Amino acid sequence: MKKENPRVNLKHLNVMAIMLILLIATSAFIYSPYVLLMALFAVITGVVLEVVFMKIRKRPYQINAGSVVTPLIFVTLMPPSLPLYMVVIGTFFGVFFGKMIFGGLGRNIFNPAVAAYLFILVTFPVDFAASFIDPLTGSALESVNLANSIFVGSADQLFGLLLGQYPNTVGATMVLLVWIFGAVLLFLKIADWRIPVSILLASAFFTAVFSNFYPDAFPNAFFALFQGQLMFIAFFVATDPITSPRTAKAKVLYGIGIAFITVVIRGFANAAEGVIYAVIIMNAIGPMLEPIEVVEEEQK
Amino acid sequence: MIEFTTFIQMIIAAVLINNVLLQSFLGIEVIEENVPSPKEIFKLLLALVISVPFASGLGYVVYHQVLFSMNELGEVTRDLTYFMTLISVVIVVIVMLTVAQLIKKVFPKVHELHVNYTNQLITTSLVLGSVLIIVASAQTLLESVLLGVFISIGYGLVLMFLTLIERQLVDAPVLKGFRGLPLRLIILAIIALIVSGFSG
Repeated sequence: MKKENPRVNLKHLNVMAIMLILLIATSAFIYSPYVLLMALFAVITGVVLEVVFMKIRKRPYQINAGSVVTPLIFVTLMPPSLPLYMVVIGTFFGVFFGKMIFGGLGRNIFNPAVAAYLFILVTFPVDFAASFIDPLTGSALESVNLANSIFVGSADQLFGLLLGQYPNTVGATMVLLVWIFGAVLLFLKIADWRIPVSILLASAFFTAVFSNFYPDAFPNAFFALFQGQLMFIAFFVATDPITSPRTAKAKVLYGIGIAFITVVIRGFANAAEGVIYAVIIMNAIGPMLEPIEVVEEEQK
Repeated sequence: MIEFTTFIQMIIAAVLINNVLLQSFLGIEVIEENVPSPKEIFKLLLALVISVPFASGLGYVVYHQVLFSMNELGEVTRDLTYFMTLISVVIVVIVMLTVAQLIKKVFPKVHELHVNYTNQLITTSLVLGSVLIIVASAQTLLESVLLGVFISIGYGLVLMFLTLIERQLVDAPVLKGFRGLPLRLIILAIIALIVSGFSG
């Protein structure tokens, strides 16, 4: 019988799940309790799907943090008023096609929540864009550019971003909270510091370089770090031990690659948020950054 | 001459956004049994980078300089697209056989693998489909040749992604019914979602 994947640590997943729940609860306070309903539907869908799948395969199954983390991350990537049927469909896609198909927890190649995000974005682009809410007024917004360049560098804007006064997805609205929880993840060594640090530093660097040539398309390099989902992705998604590289050098390259692709897509493409695409692209490229012996050793 | 910005857009469109394998499933036959190894992909790519631009350039000339001109003169009354499809098949066969002989003389080490794939490529949709797509979209002969090169590179890139991903799934407990082509198609679908981000 194949041994369990050594990179799956249930204790770490427990802590991650708690933090995600707290993030979602904060977002529910900022926007509305509907966010909690989204999380509930996502978790139920994910758990039921895994139980049914494992029963079909006639394998023993235990509900643990590994079953709820993917649905919770998916909800944190979604706008706060996404219709519930889309939450269910997205969770189904992410859990089934992103995780179970590849063999279950620890075997997935792509981050399942990110795959689910892309599926919802491509399948329901109009509804996705129309599901954002202004956190200050509570009114629905027709569309939001998560990485727009209106931020000119005032302290008010910075505090607004930190305290969740600008519209964003569920998990990324309050940047200050993302920082706090991100710091906890690094302190507890649940997340490797190399990945978020390389992402953020490289993002600032590339934004600064590109803004010299295309000032209209690229914002202030410092503020670019606080916009969109970059902070949240850097701490909570890119650091996923299953889909990120194993060696230290590869992790730094992985972070730099995410940063570069993010900056390019944000500046030149019409995508709502480049970091999502960057993460999943680097999930696919990640193994190329490591010596083949490292990959083969883990497969033994 | 093509402007630099247009050139970059052409590369991104041909390699990623309008990738023939992801968007049109052209050349899917190559991965039906198993995914080629990186070395085999490289050799296949070499064959494609020679064949597809040649075929698409020739197709462009035939379509625009011969068929289109004849149509304007009123000598060809049938639908040009129908004719182009038929003629493209002939062009592809001629090109592939010519390229095979060329590779045999110039790159003998590549020849053995190329022969294995030549018959497959002649009968597959990849080269033929690429020629038809390029002829319909290219504005100039240079553009048609360059598109042929980038389409080949895009195809090879996706195959390489597929190989790298399959390597990681060697001992994974994948459901029996999903092993092989179904799993590859799912991976291709996820990669297609990924490249959709580069549109615009």
